[in-house]
Amino acid sequence: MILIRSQSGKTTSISELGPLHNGTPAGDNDIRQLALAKLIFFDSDSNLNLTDKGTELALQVLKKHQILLAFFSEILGLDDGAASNEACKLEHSVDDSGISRLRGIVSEQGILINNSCKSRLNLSECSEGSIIRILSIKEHGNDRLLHDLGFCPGEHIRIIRKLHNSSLIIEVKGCEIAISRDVARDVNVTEEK
Amino acid sequence: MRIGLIGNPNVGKSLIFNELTGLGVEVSNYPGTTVDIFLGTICLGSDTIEITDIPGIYSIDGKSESEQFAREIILSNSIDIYISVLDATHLARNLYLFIELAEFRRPAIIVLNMTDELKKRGLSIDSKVLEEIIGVPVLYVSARTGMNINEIIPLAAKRAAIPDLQVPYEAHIEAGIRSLFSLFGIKREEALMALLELHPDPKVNELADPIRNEISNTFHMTLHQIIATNRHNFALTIAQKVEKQNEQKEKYDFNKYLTSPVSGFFFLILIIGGLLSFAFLVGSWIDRLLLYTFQYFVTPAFNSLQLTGIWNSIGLSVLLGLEAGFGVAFPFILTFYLLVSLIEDSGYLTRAAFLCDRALHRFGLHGIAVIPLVLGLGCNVPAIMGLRLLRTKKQKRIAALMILLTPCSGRTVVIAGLVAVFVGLIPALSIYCIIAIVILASAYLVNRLSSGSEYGMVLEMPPLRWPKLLDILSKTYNRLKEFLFIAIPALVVTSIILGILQYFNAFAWVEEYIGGFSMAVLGLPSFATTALLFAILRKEMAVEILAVLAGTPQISLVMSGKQIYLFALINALFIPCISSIAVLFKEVGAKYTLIFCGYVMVLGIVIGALFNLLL
Repeated sequence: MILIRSQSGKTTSISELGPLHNGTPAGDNDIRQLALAKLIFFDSDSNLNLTDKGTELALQVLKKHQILLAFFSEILGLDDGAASNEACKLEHSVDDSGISRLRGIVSEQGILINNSCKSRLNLSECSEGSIIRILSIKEHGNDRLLHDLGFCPGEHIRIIRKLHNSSLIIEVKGCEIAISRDVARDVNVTEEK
Repeated sequence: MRIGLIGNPNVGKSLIFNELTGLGVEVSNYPGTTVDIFLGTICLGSDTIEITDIPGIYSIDGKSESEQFAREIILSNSIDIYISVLDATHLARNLYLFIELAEFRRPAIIVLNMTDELKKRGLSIDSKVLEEIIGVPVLYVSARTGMNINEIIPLAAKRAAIPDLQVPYEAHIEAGIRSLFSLFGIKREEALMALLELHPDPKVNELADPIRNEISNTFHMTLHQIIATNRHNFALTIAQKVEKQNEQKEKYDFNKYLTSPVSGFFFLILIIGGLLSFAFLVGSWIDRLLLYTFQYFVTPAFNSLQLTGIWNSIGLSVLLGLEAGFGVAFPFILTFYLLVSLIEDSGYLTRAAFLCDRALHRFGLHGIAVIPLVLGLGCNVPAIMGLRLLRTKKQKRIAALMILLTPCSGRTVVIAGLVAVFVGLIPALSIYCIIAIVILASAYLVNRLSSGSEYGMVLEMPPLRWPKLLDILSKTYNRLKEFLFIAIPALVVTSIILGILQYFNAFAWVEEYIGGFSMAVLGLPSFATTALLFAILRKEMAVEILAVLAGTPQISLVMSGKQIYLFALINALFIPCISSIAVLFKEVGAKYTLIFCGYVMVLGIVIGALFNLLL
């Protein structure tokens, strides 16, 4: 199951499985086993592909990965890399009832379980007029000032003005705060519908 | 009794302070910092009450100079009662600071300012409920209309109470506070400071080290981030209990035109350019009026005394000193200080900062640098002090050099009083263009040459307000005081000394040493170069000394148009005045002070010589 694990952990696209055939003996052995279980097959160009059964299984694991990732990063506050690694380790061993409770906790917090990690943006990538929620703020010299002004995880903020590729005016707690682009880059946010 | 006013920036705290204390305000400098403290004394019955205006801050836990200062004031117990001024229209944000103050358990009252603004927004705040939750008296006021201002001090003196608030912190933090108490007997407020590494005793901070590390490892956040979030959430719950949105009102927002990419820059040029020209025009009217008064009334009156010999010289010197001080310098200093106070109070400066942010990034600065740079148009000294708004050393250095080159009101006196009056308005404005180019080129150069980290702007943009006349006048008066009571007497004394020296013909050596160089390189008569050297005392002294040495304030009689132009241009660069050198030394250190002053001097001579050849 090594192949599917690494694949679902890294990307959502199943067709990308092909290049993962790395030719090492261990890998070869795994592939042979997967082929025996009718989860994968070789196409005419001898690229690896998932069978229907394999796709279904891969998607299940992927879903678990996303729930675990959301839990680790949004609730426990691990950074992206660590959260992803932890999720990769657990996505196969966690049982279904455990994962469904975890899903309950994650969605109770109003956190979106997304199909990819792209929901996490930094403030400078958001567009004028959008209402967004702060996820985390990176450590910096200005850090305390941002927090004292109300930039806190969970806070909803609105981008009032964004000059082309440059400074932004943000509405936080009803007050307007002007920030430079480099400061905005340190603020991780997620767009709200 | 000592009362302290505490609140966020832009909540109208200084306005309330001015209304409480009137014009007789004493400004002092907190030792070792550039934080200005305003002190005023008033009487309540038979008691004398000293009121301290603590600088506007967002938090008592911050690292900036004014925040550290506020923390020290609170810890030192030097204030008996706090008046916490809150902006009623942004209650949740403003309660954050009050909550921090409440944790120190000091007697306080709450003053809800801008309550007139509340109605306009269709909001209301239930002060009774707020009083119950917080446990201190709450007073509605409006500093703009003057509502309830007279109630503030009696209420504070009679009914101030210790706030009854306890922030429910995250369970780990609460556990940390408890274990610090059970292990070392540290009280709650001190334990919080220790967790934030802010306790004045480093040993106590050390005791909290393991707890702090464990919590921040568990949450992947700093303790300040967690504590600040808890406090904000607590403030929000309180605000939600007392605030009521009665009706939704759409307010017409002119602000959006001031910050949009196209119209914003249009208004920026219009406003700054318009105000500069206005200051020029009004300044030169007053200038002419005062000069005529001297020419037709004061001088003839003096001549009718018919003094002789050295007494005549001394008398003329006093007269010239006064004429130069009041007639030439005063009008422009007055209009420029008025102007700077006006843009400062209206809140427009922050819009300018936002618009210029990106452009200033090219020079290693960010938008906030606009504020000291505009202040520099008034006087370089407070502008250099304003550098504390910038956080990194590199930014301070770049901005310091830019300010040093910014034409302050003193240099404007020379440009406006000489070039605009005797040569023309266009040449006067061209000097500003040349200086602007020099400033930008120098900033670019320093940015390239110096290393250091950069970090951008974080700046609150308060709503635009029509500044209050009383406030502007009091600010201008405070700034003018120094000119009236120190500069003018100094000028008269210098003028007398020069008059005596001239009487004994002591300036022959100047002719000898400076004369040749001055004429050949700069194209200026030697007395003009001597006047330029005197500008080290105060920049506007150049024109005053020039008048004294030339023996007439009608400079056009003794110098050609080109010479006047060069004189003003060189003076605008050349030697920075002694007070700005002193504050520069404090802000950027000896090395950079020397480099910058040397650079500016060489620049003045080179550019002067260049234009002498070109024109």
